[in-house]
Amino acid sequence: MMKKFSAIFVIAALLAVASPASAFVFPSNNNGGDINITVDNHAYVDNDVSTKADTGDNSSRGGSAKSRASASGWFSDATSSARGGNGGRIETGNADSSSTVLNDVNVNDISVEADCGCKGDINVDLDNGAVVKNDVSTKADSGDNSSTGGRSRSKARASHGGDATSTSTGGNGGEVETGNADSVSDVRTYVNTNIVRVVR
Amino acid sequence: MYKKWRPSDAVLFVTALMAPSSRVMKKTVKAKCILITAVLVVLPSSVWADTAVIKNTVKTSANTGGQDSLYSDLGQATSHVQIKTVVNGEVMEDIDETVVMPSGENAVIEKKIEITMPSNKAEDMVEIQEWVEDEDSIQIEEKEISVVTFLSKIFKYVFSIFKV
Repeated sequence: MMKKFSAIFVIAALLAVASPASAFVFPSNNNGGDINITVDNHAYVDNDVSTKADTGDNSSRGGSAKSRASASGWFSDATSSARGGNGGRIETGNADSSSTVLNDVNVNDISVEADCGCKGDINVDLDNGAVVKNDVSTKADSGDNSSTGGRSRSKARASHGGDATSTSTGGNGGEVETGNADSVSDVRTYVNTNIVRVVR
Repeated sequence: MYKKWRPSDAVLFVTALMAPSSRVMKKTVKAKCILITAVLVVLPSSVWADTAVIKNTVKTSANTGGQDSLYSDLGQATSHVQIKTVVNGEVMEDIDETVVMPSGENAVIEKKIEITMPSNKAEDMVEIQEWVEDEDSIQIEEKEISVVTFLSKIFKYVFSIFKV
């Protein structure tokens, strides 16, 4: 007895869980001429959308230079010169990112065809339940670029009365030209749309 | 073997729930499982039923900045958000927002909206009323049709006499 009860309960529980995802339509036409339509819709929608367009994060760096000169002996001269390379030019394209979410949940388009001369009532009972979650993240990025000149290092050394000349020049940073960044999020949710038509 | 359910068992069950003793433990374990399962199954259904919940979390950002360079020519950053929610034909929210930032700045739009509505338990009366209005015309047509049917029957009857 208890096992039967448990089995029945489990089946009933499974049906109860499954029913929210389903839609039931119970049309019935009794002898009195009444038309009864019962619609039961339940839906759960969860959208997690992430869109990213990135033409940035570019890096350009001139090469580094290192120079060293050394002279020794009477009247020696030492000349050292180093110049770092220039950063290159960075030109990015446009970054266009677009997210579009369209939810059309629980749409009931009911058309009742009644015979001519039907004088009974037409009862349409609609019960719609819906949970819709939209989590949308849209990102467009053409920035965060880096163009820097290279480093330089120069060293000159002379001894015994000579002259030592050292010149060190860092490179110039390059030009950065970015494109436009356009980001569009479009979220449209239509829930529980009921259209009931009675035609003869 | 399980004995037949008696009203005293209810008292026993409640007592067991409050302070389960070793004597009634076996009997109450199944009952507790059934009770908990019933709550877990019925509760979400009842929460879902009769409600329309829409949660929109939208974040849109556009960025052209953040350069590490002395010479830069930066593009424009534009963010556009469009959110439309319609419940049973009624517009609940209609957002159309655009943010344009000058070069190098971040254009961000963040929207977090939650709409909770009771479900539409409804009977669509409009169409039915229209149908009721049309009922007279339908009946008139019915009468016209019935007259035509009646005449055709007479003709058929007359012709059937000739056939015999």
